[in-house]
Amino acid sequence: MIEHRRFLFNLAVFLILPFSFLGVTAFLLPATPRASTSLLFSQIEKDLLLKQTPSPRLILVGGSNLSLGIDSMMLKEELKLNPINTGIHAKLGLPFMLNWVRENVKRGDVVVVASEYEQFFGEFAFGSEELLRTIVDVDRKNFAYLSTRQLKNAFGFIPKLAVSKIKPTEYMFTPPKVPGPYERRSFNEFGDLTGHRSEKKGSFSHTGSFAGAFNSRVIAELIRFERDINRAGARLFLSFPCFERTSFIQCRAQIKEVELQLQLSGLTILGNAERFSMQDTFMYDSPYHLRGEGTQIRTTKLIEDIENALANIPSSTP
Amino acid sequence: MLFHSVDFAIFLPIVFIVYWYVIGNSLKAQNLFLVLASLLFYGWWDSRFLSLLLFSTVIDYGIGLLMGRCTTQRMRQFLLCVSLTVNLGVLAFFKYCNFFISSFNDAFSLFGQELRIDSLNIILPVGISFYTFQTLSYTIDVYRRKLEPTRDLIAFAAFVSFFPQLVAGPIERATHLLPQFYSKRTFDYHLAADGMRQILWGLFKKMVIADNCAAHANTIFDGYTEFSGSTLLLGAFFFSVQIYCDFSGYSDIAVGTSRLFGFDLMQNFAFPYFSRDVAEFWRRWHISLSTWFRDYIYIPMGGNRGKLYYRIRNTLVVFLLSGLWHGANWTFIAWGALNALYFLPLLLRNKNRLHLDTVAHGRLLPSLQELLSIASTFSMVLLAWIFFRATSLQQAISMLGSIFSSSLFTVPRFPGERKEITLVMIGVLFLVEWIGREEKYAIEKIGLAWPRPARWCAYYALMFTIVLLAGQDQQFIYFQF
Repeated sequence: MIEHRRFLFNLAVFLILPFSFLGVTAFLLPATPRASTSLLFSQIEKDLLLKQTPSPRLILVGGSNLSLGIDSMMLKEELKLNPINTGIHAKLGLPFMLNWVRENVKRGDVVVVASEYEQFFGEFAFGSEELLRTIVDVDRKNFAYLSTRQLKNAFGFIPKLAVSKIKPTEYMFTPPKVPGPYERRSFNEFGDLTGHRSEKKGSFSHTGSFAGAFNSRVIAELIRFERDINRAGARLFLSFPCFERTSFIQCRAQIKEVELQLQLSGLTILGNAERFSMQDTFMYDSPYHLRGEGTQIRTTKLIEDIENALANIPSSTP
Repeated sequence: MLFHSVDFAIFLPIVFIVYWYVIGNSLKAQNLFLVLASLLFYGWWDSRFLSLLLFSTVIDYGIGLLMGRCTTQRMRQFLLCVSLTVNLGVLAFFKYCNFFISSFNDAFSLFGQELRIDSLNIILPVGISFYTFQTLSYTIDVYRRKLEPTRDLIAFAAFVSFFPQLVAGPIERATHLLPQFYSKRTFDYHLAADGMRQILWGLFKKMVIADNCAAHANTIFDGYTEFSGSTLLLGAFFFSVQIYCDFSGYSDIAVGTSRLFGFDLMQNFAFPYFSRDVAEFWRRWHISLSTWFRDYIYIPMGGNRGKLYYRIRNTLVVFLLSGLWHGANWTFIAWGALNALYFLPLLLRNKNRLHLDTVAHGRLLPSLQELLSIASTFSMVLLAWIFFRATSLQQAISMLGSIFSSSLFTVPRFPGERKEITLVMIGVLFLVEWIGREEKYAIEKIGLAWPRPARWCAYYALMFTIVLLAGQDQQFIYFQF
């Protein structure tokens, strides 16, 4: 028994130092100057958009496939709705995005969810370093949008967050005069990122597959979300993310599974996944990020889908 | 539950404290608690898998008992056949059914016939190949009278489901692990501290080396048509390091964790990339599987005795089965066949047991000849890994075609971050492994003589490196087998 105690005591003493360091650094130090310019901080402005944009509204929910792949001005002009593009980063996870938007929907809102396919596989949707930064550094009110599962997964990234806050390069930073494509300053009044649209196609890896097994909890979250916003007088439509053609072909089986499960869920789906697989040359720096031409095409398709869906809804429904 | 997850970081200390503090005085309670903890650990993935594990446990426990009571050899043979049929049948259904269906369809299409048998929607239970082989070792050893059948169902269930090695080995032999559940375990401070050290080293290999290499290997293998031969070769190198660090890292964590509970698991990797020929490589790579095949298939078939034809046949069978064990795809079978082709010349010239010792034993540096042998063996193994990682034979052949072309002599280029730091960390890994190559794991003895503050600083440095340089989380490769 003495041996156990000695072992546990020594282990505790050994771990006190790193754990204290991690806790203090991650939670007490503010975001570094470099981190403060990141797109994650755009959640503050987007939250204001959700609270202040007048009806009739079109709320887009998803990750960066929306912020770097939608022209909200086109949506506004064609659909006569006030768009709010809440897309920031896929790794915030769909449940977080839904919980955040749920708190802010108003009667008559049209909500379109177009989330990255990874959300439906493994634990991707339930916690990441980006989510931890969003709750610790961006706005601590965001804690309220997290389940225990998301918190547990996000807390696994505390060491990374802590280490990032002690890197000297994070503090030796002057924001460039012209903001980069992923900066907080680069979002337009609707929440779109536009600075990259005229850039050339960058070099990036194709997606070979999505990690993990299909996670039906994400579908359950979507169903719950629809029920709640319907009660609030809003409508939900599901669309698909823009996705590079080559990656689409490589991941076709998994994408089909997502499509099938969404169809089985009874949620209203706009178009199909194939329709949003985009020519490789349209992409910017990831299989989900579109440049200007691709953005126009994708937005046009989405407008058609929303128009069709709205035309098919009986006037008595919310 | 993954070893490098928050779930496991919560699970392990709770199990440890209950195991030693709450029920430390009762062997039966400890075993029962290990079974429950293991079922929780396994059910964390998908609780439906538990039924298979329990089914396998009950069947082999029952067959073991019946074998013990049998007086006739024929009846014992019958019971062994039942065990083999049930265990391998379950494995074949869950793992190979769709492979056989698609191969059957393809075979018909070769003859111009259209046969479309739909594949089944089957989920492969995590670790099924590992625990199936482990339970089979029990029934075979009982059949061979190497082991008395156990009457203790709890101990047997703990042996089958022991969570540190349940999903990716080492594949323990019943003769080695099962008796450890019979005897009272006492806490050994040094064993536990050594276990923690091995866990730390395993986490470093998995999170820093394997996960970073995986990102580069995935990029290159997924976009193989766009890259030059030199880039593809670099991709194969990254995968070679990834699979070693991923799997041996898992084994280190498994062995280390079991030490915390007073158990001794077998060594699964013995620095295989320092091997001087392929035969030595296979004595040092996934030792628990290689020796399983050796003891339960190769030797019963005659081993390296008998006529030339039989020796070739036995070797081919073992390597092809080893390939098939890894996965239901022709790429794995090709990988096994290629390794057999590497191995056969050594076997036929009786040179397969030339290198039984550790390379450069007692010396700091290898001789030039040793260095060349290591490099050539590593190159052969690396080329074989292309078949293992490729998604189809066509991809593997296409990659090899590009590698053996003039584009091999270009500068490798591919997208991605942290390439240089990954290469530096691989260098550090090989250096530390070289220094510790005579031990059970690389850092087993390093720093043991240092004063505690210096030792702790080294551990902190390792932890800091893991935090700072951990790659994007990837599932352990061997979970899919």
